[in-house]
Amino acid sequence: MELNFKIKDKPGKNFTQREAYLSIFKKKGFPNKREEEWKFTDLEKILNDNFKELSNEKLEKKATNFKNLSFNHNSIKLVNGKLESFDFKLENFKNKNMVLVKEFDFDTHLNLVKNLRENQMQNLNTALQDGGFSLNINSECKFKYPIVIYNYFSGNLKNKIINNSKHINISKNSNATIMEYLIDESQGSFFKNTFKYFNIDEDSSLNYFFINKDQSKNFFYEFLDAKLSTNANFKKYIFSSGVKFCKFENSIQLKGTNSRGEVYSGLFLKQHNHQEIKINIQHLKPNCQSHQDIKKVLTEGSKGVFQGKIFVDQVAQKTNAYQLSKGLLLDENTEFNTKPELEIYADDVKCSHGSTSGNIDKDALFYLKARGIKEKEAIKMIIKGFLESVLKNIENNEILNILLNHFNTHIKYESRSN
Amino acid sequence: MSSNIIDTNKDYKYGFTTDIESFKAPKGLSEETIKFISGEKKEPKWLLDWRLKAYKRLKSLKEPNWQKPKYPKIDYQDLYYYSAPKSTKNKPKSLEEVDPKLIETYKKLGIPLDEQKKLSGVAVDAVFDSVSVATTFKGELTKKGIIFCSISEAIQKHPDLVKKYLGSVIPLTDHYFATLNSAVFTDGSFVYIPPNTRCPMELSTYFRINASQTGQFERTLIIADKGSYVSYLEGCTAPMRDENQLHAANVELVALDDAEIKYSTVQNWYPGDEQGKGGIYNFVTKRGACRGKNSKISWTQVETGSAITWKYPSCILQGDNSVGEFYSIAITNNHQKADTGTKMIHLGKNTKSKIISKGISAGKADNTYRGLVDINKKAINSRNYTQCDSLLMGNKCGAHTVPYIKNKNSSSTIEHEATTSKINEEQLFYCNQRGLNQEEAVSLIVNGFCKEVLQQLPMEFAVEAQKLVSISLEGSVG
Repeated sequence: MELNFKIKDKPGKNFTQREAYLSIFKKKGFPNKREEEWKFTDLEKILNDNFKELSNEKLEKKATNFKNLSFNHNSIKLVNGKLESFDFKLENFKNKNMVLVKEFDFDTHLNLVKNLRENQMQNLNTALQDGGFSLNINSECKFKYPIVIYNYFSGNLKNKIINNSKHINISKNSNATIMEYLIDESQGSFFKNTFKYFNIDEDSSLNYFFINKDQSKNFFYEFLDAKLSTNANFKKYIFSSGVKFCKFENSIQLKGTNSRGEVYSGLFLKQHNHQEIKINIQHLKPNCQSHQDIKKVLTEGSKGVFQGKIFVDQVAQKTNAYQLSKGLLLDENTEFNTKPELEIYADDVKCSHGSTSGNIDKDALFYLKARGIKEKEAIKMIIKGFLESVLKNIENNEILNILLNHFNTHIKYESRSN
Repeated sequence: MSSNIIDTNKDYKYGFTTDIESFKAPKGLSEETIKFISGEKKEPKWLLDWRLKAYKRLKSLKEPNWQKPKYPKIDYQDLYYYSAPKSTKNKPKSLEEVDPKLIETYKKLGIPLDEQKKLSGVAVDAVFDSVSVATTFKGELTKKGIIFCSISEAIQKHPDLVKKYLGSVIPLTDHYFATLNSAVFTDGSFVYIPPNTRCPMELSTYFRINASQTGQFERTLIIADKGSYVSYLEGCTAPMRDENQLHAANVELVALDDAEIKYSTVQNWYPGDEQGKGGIYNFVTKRGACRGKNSKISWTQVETGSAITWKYPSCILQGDNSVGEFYSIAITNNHQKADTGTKMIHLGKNTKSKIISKGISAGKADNTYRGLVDINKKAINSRNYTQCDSLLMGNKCGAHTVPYIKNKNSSSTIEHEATTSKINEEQLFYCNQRGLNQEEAVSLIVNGFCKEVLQQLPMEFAVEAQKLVSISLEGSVG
């Protein structure tokens, strides 16, 4: 694979900085399976198999000709990774500074990445970062409507690499629901390398959804670095069914007492999709809670990976942490690899994890068939029940409907065995 | 600790002083040393070549560093790899010269006086009970055609068997410590159970005459031929003083069609003192191959000793319908570090495996369960169940779980669960209320926590192991 990476800044301070990061990246290249973090996802090989060339050449600007979702919401629109427009008029804030959205600039970037140099993808992102946004939500801000981030891709993006960043800061005693909606209408395949930095201040909460609309034949890597203060709350939902390749890394630091972090995901993979979810929840203060619930259905040679870790610091007494990962392997040649890890240094804690993988329970199938339900229908019911169990805590009805639709689009399974 | 270079066996402060002047191999690791060992043991040429091949391979390998506990650098050129049986000159003359703490532990375990002497290395007269016991046992085994001897003896008397199976489970090209063992192993046990034979007793290293000095690079090979059964015990509950700080043993098990091997270990080597000084580094490679149909290998271990333990007794389930089991209790106290677990590699159809691991961490210790369950594409209808629980006592210790789970097969099922918590206060209160003091209560609860594993041990072992569990945690409550 040929790498055509060019730093676009004019010569100066930024240029030198970026060049330094690029040279660190070039020394080791893309991570491969020899690295513990990438053991089950050999990115180097996957990219080599799918790309002859990767370049960060400037992309043509495209019009945003997609249809908005038909419920009341605020919006931020990104086209090919770059901020296009945003709209918070619905909320009618009296204070104009309640919500600030701007392009993600390189100085913010350098402030944020200080500690993450060991990550090769971070080095690459820092070197080539171009676009993204910074969203600043002021204190005491209560949204009436969710914020939808339209992540729209169009035009010919063959052999392109997109490096962008998203920064969300929620100040004290505020709450927000954000839904990232992926609409991929591009031609040719591209690789996207995104870094997200969330900061949630005291008594604030953030619900973050990632939902894919249709199919995407593209390659996504995302790293989320979330920091939670006292009494803060963060829930992340991942629904990336239909994406050919993605790896979502989530590092969630519970830095204040009584904070709570949760991650949920229900995925239906087919056609040799390869998707990995990696979660590292760090309990750094007492009385924090965390919950992980990952469900994957694997068909048609697809591969699902889950790496989850619960870290409990010596001071983090009274921690309550739970993690569950389940894989349903429906076809031959499917694979489910997991590494559910616990690293615990405090004694007054309750930490547990469970992980299962296998085919549909024959007893459950028999139960349904005995009640007159046809096998095909019964299998579908079991799959849906399996995946929809992660939706039970979602309060927003509009988003819930979008998710139920999402499952209807993506769950298509014909049993191949007799 | 990390800055010190490891004490070699020349003068290990916490063990015996050894009389190395008498008979020894040249110091350091080289072709000469290996040739010396091989010559000393009058080994055939193929074995020398095999050792040299391992040594050649070793030179291209690096020491592993992925384990959680780190250890000070070992200077392999400063070790003696072979020394003849120790003279009794420098050993303690009577029990009064032995560390009183050690004697106290023996008493608690209820070990007879004669055995106390043997364990603590006191020069014992030739009249020793277990010697005669061992001889009787040997007669009975020979009648059944069972071979149970030292591996050096087996190399001389049964070269075909050794040649066929040595290194067939742990190849020369394995990881660093296994390859090091292949190059310089000195002694160990060899067991062969002929077809359709059920070994009439539990085989134990303890009963093998002169087996106590097997050295730091031990090699054990157990072969269970078609339709046979054997239960093998390794180690004992009493704390063993040892003159070597580094232990890198290899254990290979081979089970053919319908055969079953049960391997139980109780390891209670010197863990170092309360400040974490000294103690044994136990870097052991244990692997069993269920080569035949319907074969079964079951590992049971109670690990309470050693400063650092790295140990992953594994099963390669090649034969259809074969079964692998792993039951483990790992207790770490003070500054001990244990990184242990298992690998279950499913290759044959309808293979089953079960893993029960109980980790208990107290003081400033670190306890890690690390395991792999890998179900291959061809291993249809396979099944695995894993349960690993950890108990923490005190807020300065750590308990970790690092399982790798791979399922490449839609007809197979894997279940894994793990919990970490401290001793339930309500249970403690309940026991206290009924008149048990804190220490007794903890011991009772911990024994209950370990019950599933203790049950797997042979009768005599189980009783001692229960006591051992309580003793290992002494002083950690309060």
